Amino acid sequence: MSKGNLCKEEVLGGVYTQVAPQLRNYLYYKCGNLERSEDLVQDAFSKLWEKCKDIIPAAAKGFLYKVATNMLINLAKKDQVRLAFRERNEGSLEYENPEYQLEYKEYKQRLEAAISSLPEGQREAFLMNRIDKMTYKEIAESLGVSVKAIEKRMHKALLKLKDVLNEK
Amino acid sequence: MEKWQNSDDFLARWLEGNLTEEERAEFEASDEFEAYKKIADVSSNFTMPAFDTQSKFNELKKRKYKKQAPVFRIHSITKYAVAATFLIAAFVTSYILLIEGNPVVEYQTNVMEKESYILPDGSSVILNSGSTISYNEDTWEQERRVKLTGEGFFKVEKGISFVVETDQGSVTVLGTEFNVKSRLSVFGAACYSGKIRVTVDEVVKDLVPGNGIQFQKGELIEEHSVPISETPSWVSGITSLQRVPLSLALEELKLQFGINIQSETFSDSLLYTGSFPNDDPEAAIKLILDSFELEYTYNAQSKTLTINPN
Repeated sequence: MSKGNLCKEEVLGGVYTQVAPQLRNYLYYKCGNLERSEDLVQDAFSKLWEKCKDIIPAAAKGFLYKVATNMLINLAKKDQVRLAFRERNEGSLEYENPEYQLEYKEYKQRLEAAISSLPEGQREAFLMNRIDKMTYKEIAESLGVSVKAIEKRMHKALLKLKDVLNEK
Repeated sequence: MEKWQNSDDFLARWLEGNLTEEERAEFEASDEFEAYKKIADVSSNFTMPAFDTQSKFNELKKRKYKKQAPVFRIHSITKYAVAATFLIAAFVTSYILLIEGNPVVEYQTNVMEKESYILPDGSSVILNSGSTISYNEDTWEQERRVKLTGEGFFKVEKGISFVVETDQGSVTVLGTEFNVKSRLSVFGAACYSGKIRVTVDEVVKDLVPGNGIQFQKGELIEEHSVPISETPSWVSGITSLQRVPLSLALEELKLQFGINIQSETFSDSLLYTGSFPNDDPEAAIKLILDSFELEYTYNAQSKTLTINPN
Protein backbone atom coordinates (compact mmCIF):
# COMPACT_ATOMS: atom_id res chain seq x y z
CA MET A 1 0.00 0.00 0.00
CA SER A 2 1.63 3.24 -0.97
CA LYS A 3 0.83 6.87 -0.54
CA GLY A 4 -0.73 8.59 -3.49
CA ASN A 5 -3.05 5.67 -4.14
CA LEU A 6 -5.94 7.57 -2.62
CA CYS A 7 -5.61 10.12 -5.40
CA LYS A 8 -6.70 7.47 -7.87
CA GLU A 9 -10.37 7.79 -8.65
CA GLU A 10 -10.96 4.08 -8.35
CA VAL A 11 -9.37 3.82 -4.93
CA LEU A 12 -11.07 6.91 -3.57
CA GLY A 13 -14.37 5.70 -4.99
CA GLY A 14 -13.87 2.38 -3.25
CA VAL A 15 -13.28 4.06 0.08
CA TYR A 16 -16.33 6.21 -0.49
CA THR A 17 -18.54 3.22 -1.17
CA GLN A 18 -17.28 1.46 1.94
CA VAL A 19 -17.26 4.31 4.41
CA ALA A 20 -19.65 7.09 3.37
CA PRO A 21 -22.98 5.38 4.18
CA GLN A 22 -21.94 4.35 7.69
CA LEU A 23 -20.23 7.65 8.33
CA ARG A 24 -23.40 9.51 7.47
CA ASN A 25 -25.42 7.33 9.82
CA TYR A 26 -22.91 7.82 12.63
CA LEU A 27 -23.11 11.60 12.24
CA TYR A 28 -26.90 11.47 12.26
CA TYR A 29 -26.87 9.48 15.47
CA LYS A 30 -24.75 12.23 16.98
CA CYS A 31 -26.61 15.31 15.80
CA GLY A 32 -30.05 14.19 14.63
CA ASN A 33 -29.86 16.31 11.48
CA LEU A 34 -29.79 14.30 8.28
CA GLU A 35 -28.88 17.13 5.94
CA ARG A 36 -26.05 18.31 8.14
CA SER A 37 -24.78 14.74 8.33
CA GLU A 38 -24.71 14.37 4.57
CA ASP A 39 -22.89 17.68 4.15
CA LEU A 40 -20.31 16.69 6.73
CA VAL A 41 -19.64 13.44 4.88
CA GLN A 42 -18.82 15.41 1.76
CA ASP A 43 -16.69 17.85 3.75
CA ALA A 44 -14.74 15.05 5.37
CA PHE A 45 -14.09 13.36 2.05
CA SER A 46 -13.02 16.67 0.53
CA LYS A 47 -10.47 16.98 3.32
CA LEU A 48 -9.29 13.45 2.65
CA TRP A 49 -8.94 14.25 -1.01
CA GLU A 50 -6.84 17.32 -0.30
CA LYS A 51 -4.49 15.15 1.68
CA CYS A 52 -4.67 12.10 -0.58
CA LYS A 53 -0.93 12.15 -1.22
CA ASP A 54 -0.13 11.87 2.47
CA ILE A 55 -2.54 9.22 3.68
CA ILE A 56 -2.44 5.52 2.95
CA PRO A 57 -5.75 3.85 2.09
CA ALA A 58 -5.76 1.77 5.28
CA ALA A 59 -5.74 4.93 7.38
CA ALA A 60 -8.54 6.61 5.45
CA LYS A 61 -11.46 5.41 7.57
CA GLY A 62 -9.94 6.53 10.86
CA PHE A 63 -9.07 9.89 9.34
CA LEU A 64 -12.60 10.39 8.03
CA TYR A 65 -14.33 9.63 11.32
CA LYS A 66 -11.95 11.86 13.24
CA VAL A 67 -12.27 14.77 10.84
CA ALA A 68 -16.06 14.51 10.62
CA THR A 69 -16.40 14.32 14.41
CA ASN A 70 -14.24 17.41 14.84
CA MET A 71 -16.21 19.29 12.23
CA LEU A 72 -19.40 18.43 14.07
CA ILE A 73 -17.98 19.65 17.36
CA ASN A 74 -17.02 22.92 15.70
CA LEU A 75 -20.58 23.42 14.56
CA ALA A 76 -21.32 23.25 18.28
CA LYS A 77 -25.04 23.60 17.93
CA LYS A 78 -26.30 22.23 21.14
CA ASP A 79 -29.76 21.67 19.76
CA GLN A 80 -31.54 18.91 21.47
CA VAL A 81 -31.13 15.73 19.52
CA ARG A 82 -34.39 14.14 18.41
CA LEU A 83 -33.92 10.98 16.47
CA ALA A 84 -36.62 9.23 14.50
CA PHE A 85 -36.39 6.08 12.47
CA ARG A 86 -38.43 4.14 9.99
CA GLU A 87 -38.89 0.45 10.40
CA ARG A 88 -37.21 -2.28 8.47
CA ASN A 89 -40.39 -4.11 7.53
CA GLU A 90 -43.06 -1.50 7.62
CA GLY A 91 -45.75 -3.66 6.11
CA SER A 92 -45.70 -6.30 8.82
CA LEU A 93 -47.66 -4.27 11.37
CA GLU A 94 -50.74 -4.38 9.17
CA TYR A 95 -51.43 -7.91 10.24
CA GLU A 96 -51.64 -7.01 13.91
CA ASN A 97 -54.76 -5.71 15.56
CA PRO A 98 -55.16 -1.96 15.98
CA GLU A 99 -54.58 -2.04 19.70
CA TYR A 100 -51.22 -3.73 19.22
CA GLN A 101 -50.33 -1.29 16.46
CA LEU A 102 -51.05 1.67 18.69
CA GLU A 103 -49.11 0.22 21.55
CA TYR A 104 -46.19 -0.51 19.26
CA LYS A 105 -46.15 3.00 17.85
CA GLU A 106 -46.25 4.49 21.29
CA TYR A 107 -43.41 2.32 22.48
CA LYS A 108 -41.37 3.13 19.41
CA GLN A 109 -41.69 6.84 20.05
CA ARG A 110 -40.73 6.48 23.67
CA LEU A 111 -37.76 4.36 22.68
CA GLU A 112 -36.64 6.96 20.14
CA ALA A 113 -36.87 9.66 22.78
CA ALA A 114 -35.00 7.51 25.27
CA ILE A 115 -32.22 6.83 22.74
CA SER A 116 -32.03 10.54 21.96
CA SER A 117 -31.50 11.24 25.62
CA LEU A 118 -28.52 8.89 25.88
CA PRO A 119 -25.21 10.64 26.37
CA GLU A 120 -23.04 10.95 23.26
CA GLY A 121 -20.67 8.07 22.96
CA GLN A 122 -23.30 5.62 24.19
CA ARG A 123 -25.87 6.79 21.70
CA GLU A 124 -23.78 6.35 18.56
CA ALA A 125 -22.31 3.05 19.67
CA PHE A 126 -25.75 1.64 20.46
CA LEU A 127 -27.22 2.67 17.13
CA MET A 128 -24.19 1.59 15.10
CA ASN A 129 -24.70 -1.83 16.61
CA ARG A 130 -28.48 -1.98 16.29
CA ILE A 131 -29.05 -0.27 12.95
CA ASP A 132 -25.80 -0.62 11.01
CA LYS A 133 -25.29 -4.11 12.45
CA MET A 134 -21.67 -3.38 13.25
CA THR A 135 -19.82 -5.65 15.69
CA TYR A 136 -18.18 -4.11 18.76
CA LYS A 137 -14.85 -4.65 17.03
CA GLU A 138 -15.96 -2.73 13.94
CA ILE A 139 -17.36 0.10 16.02
CA ALA A 140 -14.17 0.28 18.09
CA GLU A 141 -12.09 0.44 14.92
CA SER A 142 -14.13 3.24 13.37
CA LEU A 143 -14.12 5.35 16.51
CA GLY A 144 -10.52 4.67 17.46
CA VAL A 145 -11.24 3.20 20.89
CA SER A 146 -10.91 -0.24 22.48
CA VAL A 147 -13.51 -2.99 22.22
CA LYS A 148 -13.80 -2.92 25.99
CA ALA A 149 -14.74 0.75 25.84
CA ILE A 150 -17.54 -0.06 23.41
CA GLU A 151 -18.79 -2.90 25.61
CA LYS A 152 -19.01 -0.53 28.54
CA ARG A 153 -20.93 1.99 26.47
CA MET A 154 -23.37 -0.65 25.26
CA HIS A 155 -23.94 -1.96 28.76
CA LYS A 156 -24.56 1.51 30.17
CA ALA A 157 -26.83 2.41 27.26
CA LEU A 158 -29.05 -0.61 27.87
CA LEU A 159 -29.25 0.10 31.57
CA LYS A 160 -30.20 3.70 30.94
CA LEU A 161 -32.77 2.86 28.27
CA LYS A 162 -34.55 0.37 30.46
CA ASP A 163 -34.49 2.85 33.28
CA VAL A 164 -36.01 5.66 31.20
CA LEU A 165 -38.63 3.42 29.61
CA ASN A 166 -39.71 1.99 32.90
CA GLU A 167 -41.31 5.11 34.26
CA LYS A 168 -44.90 4.02 34.33
CA MET B 1 -30.99 -2.58 42.27
CA GLU B 2 -30.43 -4.92 39.43
CA LYS B 3 -27.80 -7.55 39.50
CA TRP B 4 -26.30 -6.47 36.23
CA GLN B 5 -25.61 -2.98 37.44
CA ASN B 6 -22.56 -4.29 39.25
CA SER B 7 -21.05 -5.44 36.00
CA ASP B 8 -19.71 -3.07 33.39
CA ASP B 9 -20.24 -5.24 30.34
CA PHE B 10 -22.80 -7.93 31.13
CA LEU B 11 -25.56 -6.51 28.97
CA ALA B 12 -23.10 -5.87 26.13
CA ARG B 13 -22.04 -9.48 26.21
CA TRP B 14 -25.63 -10.62 26.31
CA LEU B 15 -26.42 -8.65 23.19
CA GLU B 16 -23.53 -10.21 21.31
CA GLY B 17 -24.39 -13.70 22.51
CA ASN B 18 -21.29 -13.89 24.67
CA LEU B 19 -22.74 -15.08 27.96
CA THR B 20 -22.04 -18.46 29.53
CA GLU B 21 -24.93 -20.91 29.48
CA GLU B 22 -25.43 -20.31 33.17
CA GLU B 23 -25.46 -16.56 32.85
CA ARG B 24 -27.87 -16.69 29.94
CA ALA B 25 -30.34 -18.98 31.68
CA GLU B 26 -30.31 -16.82 34.75
CA PHE B 27 -30.82 -13.64 32.78
CA GLU B 28 -33.67 -15.02 30.71
CA ALA B 29 -35.43 -16.17 33.86
CA SER B 30 -35.20 -12.76 35.48
CA ASP B 31 -37.98 -10.15 35.72
CA GLU B 32 -36.00 -7.60 33.77
CA PHE B 33 -35.34 -9.78 30.77
CA GLU B 34 -38.50 -8.91 28.84
CA ALA B 35 -37.80 -5.20 28.98
CA TYR B 36 -34.26 -5.61 27.66
CA LYS B 37 -35.37 -7.98 24.95
CA LYS B 38 -37.97 -5.52 23.76
CA ILE B 39 -35.43 -2.71 23.60
CA ALA B 40 -33.06 -4.87 21.60
CA ASP B 41 -35.71 -6.18 19.20
CA VAL B 42 -37.50 -2.96 18.44
CA SER B 43 -34.28 -1.01 17.96
CA SER B 44 -33.01 -3.74 15.65
CA ASN B 45 -35.90 -2.96 13.41
CA PHE B 46 -34.95 0.66 12.86
CA THR B 47 -33.48 1.71 9.52
CA MET B 48 -31.81 4.73 8.09
CA PRO B 49 -32.72 6.21 4.71
CA ALA B 50 -30.80 4.75 1.77
CA PHE B 51 -27.55 6.37 0.76
CA ASP B 52 -27.10 6.87 -2.98
CA THR B 53 -23.37 6.26 -3.12
CA GLN B 54 -22.99 6.72 -6.86
CA SER B 55 -24.66 10.09 -7.14
CA LYS B 56 -23.13 11.32 -3.89
CA PHE B 57 -19.68 10.45 -5.15
CA ASN B 58 -20.36 12.30 -8.38
CA GLU B 59 -21.50 15.26 -6.33
CA LEU B 60 -18.25 15.10 -4.40
CA LYS B 61 -16.23 15.17 -7.59
CA LYS B 62 -18.06 18.23 -8.86
CA ARG B 63 -17.75 19.97 -5.51
CA LYS B 64 -14.02 19.58 -5.50
CA TYR B 65 -13.56 21.69 -8.54
CA LYS B 66 -15.11 24.93 -7.41
CA LYS B 67 -12.67 27.80 -7.16
CA GLN B 68 -10.50 27.82 -4.12
CA ALA B 69 -8.66 30.82 -2.79
CA PRO B 70 -5.12 30.76 -4.14
CA VAL B 71 -2.53 29.82 -1.55
CA PHE B 72 0.79 31.58 -1.54
CA ARG B 73 3.53 29.12 -0.78
CA ILE B 74 7.27 29.47 -0.56
CA HIS B 75 8.92 26.38 -1.85
CA SER B 76 12.01 25.04 -3.48
CA ILE B 77 11.93 22.47 -6.21
CA THR B 78 14.65 19.93 -6.64
CA LYS B 79 14.34 17.66 -9.60
CA TYR B 80 16.17 14.48 -10.22
CA ALA B 81 15.73 12.74 -13.50
CA VAL B 82 16.85 9.16 -13.50
CA ALA B 83 16.91 7.26 -16.73
CA ALA B 84 16.52 3.53 -16.25
CA THR B 85 17.77 1.29 -19.00
CA PHE B 86 16.82 -2.26 -19.75
CA LEU B 87 19.15 -4.91 -21.06
CA ILE B 88 19.32 -3.25 -24.42
CA ALA B 89 21.37 -0.09 -24.23
CA ALA B 90 19.47 1.73 -26.94
CA PHE B 91 16.20 1.75 -25.05
CA VAL B 92 15.20 4.47 -22.68
CA THR B 93 12.31 2.99 -20.85
CA SER B 94 10.93 5.14 -18.07
CA TYR B 95 12.26 7.90 -15.93
CA ILE B 96 11.24 8.94 -12.49
CA LEU B 97 10.76 12.53 -11.44
CA LEU B 98 11.24 13.01 -7.74
CA ILE B 99 10.06 16.40 -6.79
CA GLU B 100 10.41 18.01 -3.38
CA GLY B 101 8.30 21.01 -2.67
CA ASN B 102 4.60 21.47 -2.75
CA PRO B 103 2.89 22.48 -5.90
CA VAL B 104 3.88 19.85 -8.44
CA VAL B 105 1.67 16.79 -8.43
CA GLU B 106 2.87 13.68 -10.20
CA TYR B 107 1.38 10.28 -10.90
CA GLN B 108 3.19 7.31 -12.32
CA THR B 109 2.12 3.91 -13.53
CA ASN B 110 4.41 0.93 -13.40
CA VAL B 111 4.88 -1.86 -15.85
CA MET B 112 1.67 -3.86 -16.31
CA GLU B 113 -0.36 -1.16 -14.64
CA LYS B 114 -3.12 1.13 -15.96
CA GLU B 115 -4.65 3.78 -13.78
CA SER B 116 -7.09 6.63 -13.99
CA TYR B 117 -6.50 9.95 -12.22
CA ILE B 118 -8.64 13.02 -11.69
CA LEU B 119 -7.21 16.47 -12.27
CA PRO B 120 -8.15 19.55 -10.25
CA ASP B 121 -10.78 20.77 -12.72
CA GLY B 122 -12.56 17.45 -13.08
CA SER B 123 -10.72 16.41 -16.22
CA SER B 124 -9.35 12.91 -16.08
CA VAL B 125 -6.56 10.89 -17.60
CA ILE B 126 -6.12 7.14 -17.96
CA LEU B 127 -2.44 6.30 -17.95
CA ASN B 128 -1.09 3.31 -19.81
CA SER B 129 1.70 1.20 -18.32
CA GLY B 130 5.02 2.84 -17.60
CA SER B 131 3.78 6.40 -17.96
CA THR B 132 3.80 9.55 -15.87
CA ILE B 133 1.93 12.80 -15.76
CA SER B 134 2.71 15.85 -13.71
CA TYR B 135 1.22 19.30 -13.27
CA ASN B 136 1.58 22.35 -11.07
CA GLU B 137 -1.30 22.80 -8.65
CA ASP B 138 -0.55 26.44 -8.00
CA THR B 139 -0.68 27.58 -11.60
CA TRP B 140 -3.50 25.27 -12.65
CA GLU B 141 -6.12 27.99 -12.54
CA GLN B 142 -4.19 30.20 -14.93
CA GLU B 143 -3.24 27.41 -17.27
CA ARG B 144 -4.07 23.74 -17.45
CA ARG B 145 -0.73 22.25 -18.40
CA VAL B 146 0.20 18.61 -17.98
CA LYS B 147 3.53 16.93 -18.71
CA LEU B 148 3.29 13.43 -20.03
CA THR B 149 5.72 10.62 -20.65
CA GLY B 150 4.44 7.41 -22.15
CA GLU B 151 0.76 7.25 -23.06
CA GLY B 152 -2.44 8.71 -21.69
CA PHE B 153 -6.05 9.05 -22.72
CA PHE B 154 -7.48 12.39 -21.67
CA LYS B 155 -11.04 13.55 -21.05
CA VAL B 156 -10.93 17.29 -20.69
CA GLU B 157 -13.64 19.42 -19.15
CA LYS B 158 -14.57 22.63 -20.92
CA GLY B 159 -12.55 25.57 -19.70
CA ILE B 160 -9.36 27.47 -20.36
CA SER B 161 -6.89 25.91 -22.73
CA PHE B 162 -5.53 22.53 -21.75
CA VAL B 163 -2.05 21.54 -22.88
CA VAL B 164 -0.35 18.17 -22.78
CA GLU B 165 3.38 18.52 -23.14
CA THR B 166 5.75 15.70 -24.00
CA ASP B 167 9.39 15.91 -24.91
CA GLN B 168 8.57 15.20 -28.53
CA GLY B 169 5.62 17.47 -29.09
CA SER B 170 2.48 18.88 -27.51
CA VAL B 171 -1.29 18.76 -27.83
CA THR B 172 -3.63 21.66 -27.07
CA VAL B 173 -7.35 21.19 -26.52
CA LEU B 174 -10.64 22.68 -25.52
CA GLY B 175 -13.08 20.29 -23.84
CA THR B 176 -12.55 17.02 -25.61
CA GLU B 177 -11.27 13.43 -25.55
CA PHE B 178 -8.01 12.43 -27.11
CA ASN B 179 -5.03 10.11 -26.85
CA VAL B 180 -1.41 11.16 -26.66
CA LYS B 181 1.52 8.84 -26.98
CA SER B 182 5.16 9.66 -26.57
CA ARG B 183 7.35 6.59 -26.39
CA LEU B 184 10.90 6.22 -27.56
CA SER B 185 11.06 8.04 -30.86
CA VAL B 186 7.36 7.84 -31.64
CA PHE B 187 4.90 10.62 -30.93
CA GLY B 188 1.25 10.08 -31.74
CA ALA B 189 -2.06 11.77 -31.03
CA ALA B 190 -5.63 10.82 -31.91
CA CYS B 191 -8.84 12.73 -31.40
CA TYR B 192 -11.96 10.96 -30.12
CA SER B 193 -14.20 13.94 -29.57
CA GLY B 194 -13.92 17.72 -29.75
CA LYS B 195 -10.87 19.13 -31.52
CA ILE B 196 -7.18 19.13 -30.75
CA ARG B 197 -4.15 20.95 -32.04
CA VAL B 198 -0.94 18.96 -32.30
CA THR B 199 2.41 20.76 -32.36
CA VAL B 200 5.73 19.10 -33.15
CA ASP B 201 8.46 21.67 -33.68
CA GLU B 202 7.19 23.85 -36.52
CA VAL B 203 4.53 21.41 -37.65
CA VAL B 204 1.05 22.25 -36.41
CA LYS B 205 -1.94 20.05 -37.19
CA ASP B 206 -5.55 20.25 -36.05
CA LEU B 207 -7.41 16.98 -35.63
CA VAL B 208 -11.12 16.29 -35.51
CA PRO B 209 -12.74 13.14 -34.12
CA GLY B 210 -11.68 9.98 -35.85
CA ASN B 211 -8.30 11.36 -36.89
CA GLY B 212 -4.89 10.40 -35.62
CA ILE B 213 -1.33 11.24 -36.59
CA GLN B 214 2.05 9.78 -35.84
CA PHE B 215 5.53 11.24 -35.87
CA GLN B 216 8.80 9.38 -35.82
CA LYS B 217 11.85 11.24 -34.62
CA GLY B 218 10.02 14.52 -35.15
CA GLU B 219 8.92 13.75 -38.68
CA LEU B 220 5.33 13.28 -39.65
CA ILE B 221 5.15 9.78 -41.02
CA GLU B 222 1.49 9.11 -41.23
CA GLU B 223 -2.05 10.22 -40.72
CA HIS B 224 -4.58 7.55 -39.96
CA SER B 225 -8.12 7.22 -38.82
CA VAL B 226 -9.15 5.87 -35.50
CA PRO B 227 -12.49 4.23 -34.95
CA ILE B 228 -14.69 6.74 -33.16
CA SER B 229 -15.32 4.48 -30.22
CA GLU B 230 -15.49 5.49 -26.62
CA THR B 231 -11.82 5.02 -25.89
CA PRO B 232 -8.63 3.75 -27.51
CA SER B 233 -8.20 0.00 -27.59
CA TRP B 234 -5.40 -0.07 -25.00
CA VAL B 235 -7.83 1.12 -22.34
CA SER B 236 -9.72 -2.13 -22.88
CA GLY B 237 -6.53 -4.19 -22.87
CA ILE B 238 -5.63 -4.40 -26.54
CA THR B 239 -2.44 -2.76 -27.77
CA SER B 240 -2.78 -1.50 -31.30
CA LEU B 241 0.27 -0.39 -33.24
CA GLN B 242 0.47 1.17 -36.67
CA ARG B 243 3.75 1.34 -38.55
CA VAL B 244 5.90 1.68 -35.49
CA PRO B 245 9.53 0.67 -35.31
CA LEU B 246 10.10 -2.87 -34.08
CA SER B 247 11.98 -1.42 -31.13
CA LEU B 248 8.79 0.26 -29.95
CA ALA B 249 6.76 -2.90 -30.41
CA LEU B 250 9.24 -4.70 -28.17
CA GLU B 251 9.04 -1.83 -25.70
CA GLU B 252 5.28 -2.27 -25.55
CA LEU B 253 5.78 -5.96 -24.77
CA LYS B 254 7.93 -4.97 -21.83
CA LEU B 255 5.47 -2.43 -20.54
CA GLN B 256 2.38 -4.56 -20.85
CA PHE B 257 3.78 -7.89 -19.70
CA GLY B 258 6.84 -7.00 -17.63
CA ILE B 259 9.21 -9.20 -19.62
CA ASN B 260 12.94 -8.77 -20.17
CA ILE B 261 14.25 -8.78 -23.71
CA GLN B 262 17.67 -9.78 -24.96
CA SER B 263 18.33 -8.90 -28.54
CA GLU B 264 20.36 -6.83 -30.93
CA THR B 265 19.35 -3.30 -31.79
CA PHE B 266 16.98 -3.13 -34.71
CA SER B 267 17.00 -0.56 -37.45
CA ASP B 268 14.12 1.87 -37.31
CA SER B 269 13.18 0.94 -40.82
CA LEU B 270 11.67 -2.29 -39.55
CA LEU B 271 8.07 -1.27 -38.99
CA TYR B 272 5.34 -3.21 -37.28
CA THR B 273 1.58 -2.94 -37.69
CA GLY B 274 -0.76 -5.09 -35.64
CA SER B 275 -2.70 -5.57 -32.42
CA PHE B 276 -2.35 -7.87 -29.46
CA PRO B 277 -4.35 -8.46 -26.30
CA ASN B 278 -2.65 -7.68 -23.01
CA ASP B 279 -3.44 -10.94 -21.31
CA ASP B 280 -1.29 -13.40 -23.29
CA PRO B 281 2.41 -12.58 -23.59
CA GLU B 282 3.32 -15.62 -25.67
CA ALA B 283 0.68 -14.89 -28.29
CA ALA B 284 1.78 -11.28 -28.47
CA ILE B 285 5.43 -12.20 -28.85
CA LYS B 286 4.62 -14.67 -31.57
CA LEU B 287 2.50 -12.15 -33.42
CA ILE B 288 5.20 -9.55 -33.50
CA LEU B 289 8.28 -11.65 -34.13
CA ASP B 290 6.74 -14.01 -36.67
CA SER B 291 5.94 -11.09 -38.91
CA PHE B 292 9.66 -10.35 -39.10
CA GLU B 293 10.60 -14.01 -39.36
CA LEU B 294 12.76 -13.68 -36.29
CA GLU B 295 13.65 -16.74 -34.27
CA TYR B 296 13.41 -16.53 -30.54
CA THR B 297 13.03 -18.38 -27.27
CA TYR B 298 10.75 -17.29 -24.45
CA ASN B 299 11.19 -18.48 -20.90
CA ALA B 300 7.85 -17.95 -19.22
CA GLN B 301 9.18 -18.53 -15.73
CA SER B 302 11.90 -15.91 -15.82
CA LYS B 303 9.84 -13.85 -18.26
CA THR B 304 12.83 -13.50 -20.56
CA LEU B 305 12.61 -13.24 -24.31
CA THR B 306 15.76 -13.93 -26.27
CA ILE B 307 15.76 -13.02 -29.94
CA ASN B 308 18.31 -14.83 -32.08
CA PRO B 309 20.60 -12.64 -34.12
CA ASN B 310 19.79 -12.50 -37.79
